Amino acid sequence: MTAAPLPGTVTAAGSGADALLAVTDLRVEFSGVHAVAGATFAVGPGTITGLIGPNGAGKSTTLKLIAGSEVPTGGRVRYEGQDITGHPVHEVARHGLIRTFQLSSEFARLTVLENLVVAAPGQRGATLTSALLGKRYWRAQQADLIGRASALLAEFGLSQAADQYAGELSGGQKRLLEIMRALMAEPRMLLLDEPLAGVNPTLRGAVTEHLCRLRDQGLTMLMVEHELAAVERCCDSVIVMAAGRVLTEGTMAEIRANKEVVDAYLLG
Amino acid sequence: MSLAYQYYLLTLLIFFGVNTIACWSLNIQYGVGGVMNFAFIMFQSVGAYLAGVLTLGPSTGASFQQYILGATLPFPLPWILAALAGGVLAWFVGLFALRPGRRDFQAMVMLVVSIIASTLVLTQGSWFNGQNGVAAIPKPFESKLNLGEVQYGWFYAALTAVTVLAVYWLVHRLTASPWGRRLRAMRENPDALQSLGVNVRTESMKLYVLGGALASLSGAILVQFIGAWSPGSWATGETFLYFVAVIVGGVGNNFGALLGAALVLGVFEESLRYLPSFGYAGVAEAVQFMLLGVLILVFLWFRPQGLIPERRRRLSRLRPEPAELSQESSAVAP
Amino acid sequence: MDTGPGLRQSRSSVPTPRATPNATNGHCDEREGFCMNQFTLAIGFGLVTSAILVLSAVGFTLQFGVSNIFNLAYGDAMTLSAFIAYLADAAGAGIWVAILVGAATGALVSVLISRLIFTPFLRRGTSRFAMVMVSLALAVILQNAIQAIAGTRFRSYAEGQGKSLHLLGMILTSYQLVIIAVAVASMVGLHLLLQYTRIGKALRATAADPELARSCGIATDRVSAAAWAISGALCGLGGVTLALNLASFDFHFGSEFLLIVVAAAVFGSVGQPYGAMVGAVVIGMASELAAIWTPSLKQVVAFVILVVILLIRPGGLWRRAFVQMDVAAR
Repeated sequence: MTAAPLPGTVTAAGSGADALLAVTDLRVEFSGVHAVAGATFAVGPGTITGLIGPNGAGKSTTLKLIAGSEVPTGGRVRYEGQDITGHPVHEVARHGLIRTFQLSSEFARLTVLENLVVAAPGQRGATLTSALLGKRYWRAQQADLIGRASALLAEFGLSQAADQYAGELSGGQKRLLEIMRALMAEPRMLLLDEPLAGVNPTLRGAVTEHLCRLRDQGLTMLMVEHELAAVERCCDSVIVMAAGRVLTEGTMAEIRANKEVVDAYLLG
Repeated sequence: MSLAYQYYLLTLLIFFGVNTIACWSLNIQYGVGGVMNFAFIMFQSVGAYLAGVLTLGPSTGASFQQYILGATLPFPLPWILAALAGGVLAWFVGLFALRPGRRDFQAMVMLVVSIIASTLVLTQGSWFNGQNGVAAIPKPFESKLNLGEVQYGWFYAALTAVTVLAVYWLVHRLTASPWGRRLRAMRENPDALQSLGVNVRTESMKLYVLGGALASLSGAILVQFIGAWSPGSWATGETFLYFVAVIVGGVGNNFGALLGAALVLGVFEESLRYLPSFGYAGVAEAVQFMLLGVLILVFLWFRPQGLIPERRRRLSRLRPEPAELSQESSAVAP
Repeated sequence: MDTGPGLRQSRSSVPTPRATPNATNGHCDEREGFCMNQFTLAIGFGLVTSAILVLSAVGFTLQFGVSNIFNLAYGDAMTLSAFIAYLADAAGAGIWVAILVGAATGALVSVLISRLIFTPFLRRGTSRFAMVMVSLALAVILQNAIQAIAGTRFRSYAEGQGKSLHLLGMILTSYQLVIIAVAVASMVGLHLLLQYTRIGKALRATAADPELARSCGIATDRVSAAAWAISGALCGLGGVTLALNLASFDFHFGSEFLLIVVAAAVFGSVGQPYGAMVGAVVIGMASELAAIWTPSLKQVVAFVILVVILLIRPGGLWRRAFVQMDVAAR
């Protein structure tokens, strides 16, 4: 199973009992290869947990397993004390567990503002029957959502792009849109798959700051990221995965102190 | 204007109305929602067959044709029931055709279903008279109105026009709504939409049922005008024609679909009539189909959005006054 | 997809390999041997159908594996190859040369299609979704071009059906034996290529996981050109053998066969050559055996298998098994 904890390691959220998300012995196997081979960890509420490790360690797959887009062959995922193992993607999302994608997944031929508005849950007129009730039924709520989305755009400095097609944005802007869209979905926890990949260095700092602030506002995040500086800056705890298992976990400083881990997985 | 010429124009007009409804059906499915309905022509045929047998009266067996479900229902019941049947069939087909995650796989299943359906109708002669199809379908109110052929034609054109307007009201209301936005998001990236808490398969199903019902309605209107429907009317190639119309006219735009119906299914198809015939029988048609194929490639290359592109929805115009916005807009980045 | 005026008048069913002239009489013992005879005969036809399907389906699956495009023009490329082979045959080149000409035509057409149409469209940012329409348009163009040039009349290769031979209760014509031989030789050749050459290994890697292959530094452009050529040659062989087995063929026999090819490819997980081989044999045999009861069941069986697999396991029924088979074959 997992390697023995390093001396002085503090588990991310103690036992799984008070954790927001608890993953136990999660496994999945594709074509005879164990992509995730018994991962166990927990994420405490109001924290940012980094998920790092070399390519092929099973980080992204772990996120997919939690989010329901892959079905685990073994193990359990508990969220808010509820077993959500193998639940379909949209049901997991309705629990407030929102996932972003490694490759930008914007709705290219929708405007930036539309990308955000469409993500809001519980919209009026967003079903076949309620759409038939006409504009008067949904207009006021849509205006509220547009207001919310505009505020978010202002915060991320993308206001001027509001009416551009999302497909016209730069790679970095698309990453921002991805995070904003997830925020519009009223998440209680975010599963971020390399949110900083393709974001330019100046913007990177800003996004990191923003994630920290969201954490301070009480949002929980589990984040796969290769950018270790960012992980160090904003993650409360870090989980190191290798070959489908959790190798160790702790603060970034503790991880760095462990020479073996550094040699094998962070530098190599 | 000679009566014959008037009647020809009327026919074109009614075909245009029917094709417009058909293109709107395909447009809301493919253009807006991204569902590639390769069984489209099957849905139109169900409407045609059903509206036909529901007005023909019970099949006596003594007549030149035999069919099931024969009845003499008053207008507009045959049209309504035809639309309902299209919806039910779409629901049934959608149960399995919408299951594969990839939309090209879905399209393959629909294509297979369409081919199996036409093979069944062809071989099961007792259903809809097999190869010969059903014919002599009465027109609504024709016997009561007692009009001349052209005058009745105008009446039928008006009936078609009213239906077209009603369908426009429906599709416009839907595509302009938050549901329409959701459908466009589904077209762009179903996985991303799913991860935001929308059950993509359910939404696709609703869309498929709606599209199936509209396609059937178009078939019902068509069959009561032309009076006959047989397997020759709905070869799988016909589905391709409707796709060309929507792609050329404007993917995701209702007026684009209308324009496509007029240009591709009207002008382009009719123009063949006036071309001098050359070679042996069928060459002209083959060349015409080749041109349609080239037309699609040209459009997908130079103007994939079609002649009248989908409207860009500038939502920021609907933004509430800045005072209403939250005050915490401390910009993160310049 | 059948798209053409020819089909608007008559929609014949999928071409079925013609039974040999004496398949239904003379060799069945009406009293006791009837079933057994029908059965062995069906096995014989099943072998031939499987051989044709193996060629076509493996070609289709290789194309899909490297390009991720559902190429609806594949069936019409088969038709075109058969027609060019027919020209060679009619000029007196003999059936073996005609088969080679068919393979070369298929390879050339496929490479041209990928180079001149698919790749430019993909580079331009056309979505996978719209690529289906691109390939459909191509299918329509090819099929109607063949019809416009060659007409709607049926043709046959000069050789006819050849002598019929009796083998273990099966009755096969000498040309059906040629078909089986071509299929077996091609599959052995393909196996050696996939397992023992660099390009073959790169091909398998690309088909298994294109992104991973790219990140491992495999020159996917060269691999994809090779894949289109190889799969095109198989497509051509499939077209010629199918035409050879039909007593006569016209301009749309290939497109009518396409969905059965797709069924075989999907059965073996699209993109997996070894899977497609198994799929071809299963579907070829199943459809010929089903034809013992009702000849019209032939294509329905293939379609039902296709739909059922797309429903329960869109990734293919035994994806894992076929990948492992691939590993074991190394």
